[in-house]
Amino acid sequence: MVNVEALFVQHQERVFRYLCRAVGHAETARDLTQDVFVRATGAPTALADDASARAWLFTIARNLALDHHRRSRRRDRPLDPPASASGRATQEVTAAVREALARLGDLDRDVFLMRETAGLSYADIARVCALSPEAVRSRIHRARLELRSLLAAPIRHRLRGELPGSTRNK
Amino acid sequence: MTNATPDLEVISAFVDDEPFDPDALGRALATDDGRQILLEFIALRHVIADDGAAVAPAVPVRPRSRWPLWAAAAAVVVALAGGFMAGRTLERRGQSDQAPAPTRTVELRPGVEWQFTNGGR
Repeated sequence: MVNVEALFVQHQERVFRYLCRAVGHAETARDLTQDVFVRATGAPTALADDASARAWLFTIARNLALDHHRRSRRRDRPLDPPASASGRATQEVTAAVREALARLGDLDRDVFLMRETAGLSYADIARVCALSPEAVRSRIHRARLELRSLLAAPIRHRLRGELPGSTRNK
Repeated sequence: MTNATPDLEVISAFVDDEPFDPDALGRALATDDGRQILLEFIALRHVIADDGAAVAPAVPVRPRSRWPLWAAAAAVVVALAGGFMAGRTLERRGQSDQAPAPTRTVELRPGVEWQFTNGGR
């Protein structure tokens, strides 16, 4: 049997961060994170190594996120409200990031988020998404180029060392 | 092929700390576009990370360890067992301080020869 408690301690934060971005709502992400580990409890197979465990958990997480998106689309629900953030400027950036991520293709968004928010290696992501590491690299690069143009304003502010929205007050 | 468009994907591999071809990276960063992309990719990472920090407090609560509960239960058991043993020890010690109940009483009366001569002098 899999030692789910050890997996939880080791990976829950990464899984949560990935799901937070993937579904765009902290509360939903928290529920889905719990679901990931509940499903992991029922797994009968022992995992060979840490990389296999990571890949397996993120495969579950990704499937849950995709299911969530499908259900949301079927219900024609509006996007979940953004997670609470301090300040209006930060909320604007949050909304912009969410919108930009939503405009990426599903697979491009997933590989980008697994790298950027969960810190998975290209090899790990390749296992989760059934791609080659080269394909993962290409997709991540493509996602970044797209996000670079969609988030041009926050990136520009960041390069100038400004806080989000601070130019508005000048 | 010296004028070929440099492979800019190598910049992504570089910022992600993945294996990359140093020559390819050198060629990519020799262009204005390559340098700009590197800077903006790093800034993008910060934008995503800063924004992610806003939801960080909602990290799921780590399941509480059962250790303190077991420790408390063990402490109670040890205290009870210790108290019981200490009680028994004191009880035994208290019993040994008292004289045992007499089985036979010899009465000494004044004026009565109490030494046995048994046919002596």
